[in-house]
Amino acid sequence: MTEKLEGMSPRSQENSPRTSDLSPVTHHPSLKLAVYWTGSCGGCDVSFLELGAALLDVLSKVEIVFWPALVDAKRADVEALPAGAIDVALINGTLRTEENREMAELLREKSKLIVAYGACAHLGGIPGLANLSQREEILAAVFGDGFRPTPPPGGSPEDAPPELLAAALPLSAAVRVDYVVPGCPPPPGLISRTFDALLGELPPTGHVFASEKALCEECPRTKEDRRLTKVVRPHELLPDPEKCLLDQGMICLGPVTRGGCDAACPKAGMPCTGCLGPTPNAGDQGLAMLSALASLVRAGEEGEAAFASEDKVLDAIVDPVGTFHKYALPATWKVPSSLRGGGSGRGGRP
Amino acid sequence: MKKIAIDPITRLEGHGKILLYLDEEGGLKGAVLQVPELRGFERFCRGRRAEEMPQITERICGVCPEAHHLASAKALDAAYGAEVPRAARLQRELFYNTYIFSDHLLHLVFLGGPDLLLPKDTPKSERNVVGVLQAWPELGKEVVTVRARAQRVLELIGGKAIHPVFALPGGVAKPLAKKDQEEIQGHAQVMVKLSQRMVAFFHEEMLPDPELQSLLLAEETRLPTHYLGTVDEEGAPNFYHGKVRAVSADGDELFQLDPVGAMARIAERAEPWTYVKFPYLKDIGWSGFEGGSRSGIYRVGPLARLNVAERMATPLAQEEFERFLDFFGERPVHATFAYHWARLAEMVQAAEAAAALAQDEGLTGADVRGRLGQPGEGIGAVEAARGTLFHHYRLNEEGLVEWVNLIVATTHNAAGIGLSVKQMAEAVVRQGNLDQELLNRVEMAFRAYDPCLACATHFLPGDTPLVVEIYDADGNPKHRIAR
Repeated sequence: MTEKLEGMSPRSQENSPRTSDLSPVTHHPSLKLAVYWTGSCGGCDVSFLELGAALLDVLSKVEIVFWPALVDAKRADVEALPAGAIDVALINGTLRTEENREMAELLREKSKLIVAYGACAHLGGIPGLANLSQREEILAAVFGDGFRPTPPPGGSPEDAPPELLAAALPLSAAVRVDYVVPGCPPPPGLISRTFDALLGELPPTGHVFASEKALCEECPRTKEDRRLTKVVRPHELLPDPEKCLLDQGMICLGPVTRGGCDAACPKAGMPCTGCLGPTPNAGDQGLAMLSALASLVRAGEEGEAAFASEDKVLDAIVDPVGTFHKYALPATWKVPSSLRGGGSGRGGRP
Repeated sequence: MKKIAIDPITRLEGHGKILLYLDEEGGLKGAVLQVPELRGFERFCRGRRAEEMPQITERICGVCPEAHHLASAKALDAAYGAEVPRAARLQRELFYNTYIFSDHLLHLVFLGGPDLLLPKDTPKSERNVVGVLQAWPELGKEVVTVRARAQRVLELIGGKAIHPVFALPGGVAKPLAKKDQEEIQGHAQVMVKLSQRMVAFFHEEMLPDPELQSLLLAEETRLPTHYLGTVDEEGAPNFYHGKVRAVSADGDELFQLDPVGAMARIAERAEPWTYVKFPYLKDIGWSGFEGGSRSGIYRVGPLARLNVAERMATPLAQEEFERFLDFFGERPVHATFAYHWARLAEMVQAAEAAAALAQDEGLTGADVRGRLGQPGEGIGAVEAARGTLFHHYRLNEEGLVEWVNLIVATTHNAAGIGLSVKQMAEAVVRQGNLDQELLNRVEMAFRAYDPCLACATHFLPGDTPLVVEIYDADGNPKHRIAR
């Protein structure tokens, strides 16, 4: 329709199309970029827009080869590329279907670098909580019993929806991952840092674009008590605006979670739930938090009676798996074979 | 038989592919919109802490997390029998109107926009946001900047712009600081200005174009259905609260009820050949995959909200609403591409509403938590950008989730989207040579709805539409949408 528009006299100079000298995106691409989602919510794709005006600068320096959320290149266009033709593919989402895995493998073949972008690709993410159930249970909960993906009428077998993998998996379970940008979604500061590196000097393989230190280090709340005498849930207490949430009894995963978000949730009056993943030393984020709590909990006097009271304090923690492994279940907990229910999925550590 | 695959469909939220099956003569035998994804929220929400639900369910969709966040909080308000204090309610409403503005802007410029703002023969590699920014540089720059300011409002209130953390049963996490309110006021003014500019741009640069006029008025893009949306006491669309109103394809009111009552008027269709059920209006019943007044199929979202409304809630939006009605000269408006125009009018209302709420002195009130009763069962509803969103939870005595049901916007629209894709596929196949430009027109049919396939696929336990079969006039299966 701009054929028509170009024939019209523009109402205002600033709105006239194709005035490339005014363009905010003067295109001198130096990086061939792909962005892809596997089992995801789209929040990672939208997160790039949080760069605001800086996004225009990034767009001027990249050539988007494939990005289903924003551009029209199709899978066949990617398949037609020679190996290594894409400089970097940022992949978000958990691996949940056979198609997710195929696409991850396709992009690995076509890309020089693969970045696990966001908590799902990094650790399995919130959809990884599905690993508490068998695949068949999930299908039954959603569709009723006896569900089988089938092709549309007149379609060939390959037209059927893809099979679910036996478990939700982080990206590294399927392909070699060069870098990680953590977060749910990654905060704008870390996205900028990532593009600076991708367009400039690359860090060593395996680099995680976040702080090496715990989130507590960047949290403005003051830590005083260093002890936990009760456990409260966020809706049960309007917290003091200045004091450490953990000191006030809220289960905040700050001590075991990487910084990099500027402590966004604690600043908003809500505890950290761990989306940036474990600090380099924490190992299993949930276990590390449990051991931190065990050392913080104090109830009454020393001795046997105190142990019992301390247990009581910790008993107030409900849904420990959902609390301590909200984002990292697939990366830290190997799916037992009894829960796998056959299929071709690979449970386990990345 | 020949098969044409559009894989993946692009510039939308979520995964999908369209398969077109053609016979030997090149006629359309079938068209399938398949959604090959599933994450299983239905299952893993069970057992979670109730107060975590606003944060967990928003991961269904990162484009509209704000809608899930607040529908969830409202379901929890009801489940705990809590009255939300005024300051908390104001925070939520300001946040929510800002989200509607931001989400509609995203679609108008970045997702749906490239189809309408660029020449229709634009090469596939340029038919995207980068192309739009090059063709309309000043406007593009302003859109990017103002959207960032809207996101900043979401961050100031919600803690994070994407996947906010502030809503809790009975209220919000903390009072809003005075300095934050002042900052928000500045952002909201700019949102209103951009809305006005977008309206002027639409009328001066876009609407006069015959190509757009034909999309808006062509018979093959017209789909009579019933409509569902939320309105306030004066009959204006309200995104955060109100009564759910349904209007028939002929324009008669079918019902106007609170969300609990409205949810009870929706039934789901199970097809023996499919895995699941389809939402339709219970009182009218199911008569197959067809539009019209005798079918129970209804649509939601911007066009539906304008069709159920008597007026808009704010002055500039009202002006745009009147121009919209004058153009189409019918009510309800059944033109599928009118979704884009309705989205623009709603964006204006959302910006104006946000600007007004930002001025309210009660916004920084200290009382932000209502008293909670015993956990039980509750339904919460909001108007997501894409349509009515219901969350329904049952909690146990510990405040853990026992059972969940959701009906999400794109699910309500699944039948309508399927019918629109079919209409467009038939029109395009009639034109012969299926090149990229024509295939993109098939995609434009679903893009009008701004569908969120991640939303549609990731909830409604036992009830999510999975396969749609479209019958021809003789009742033979003609076309199937599988997901």
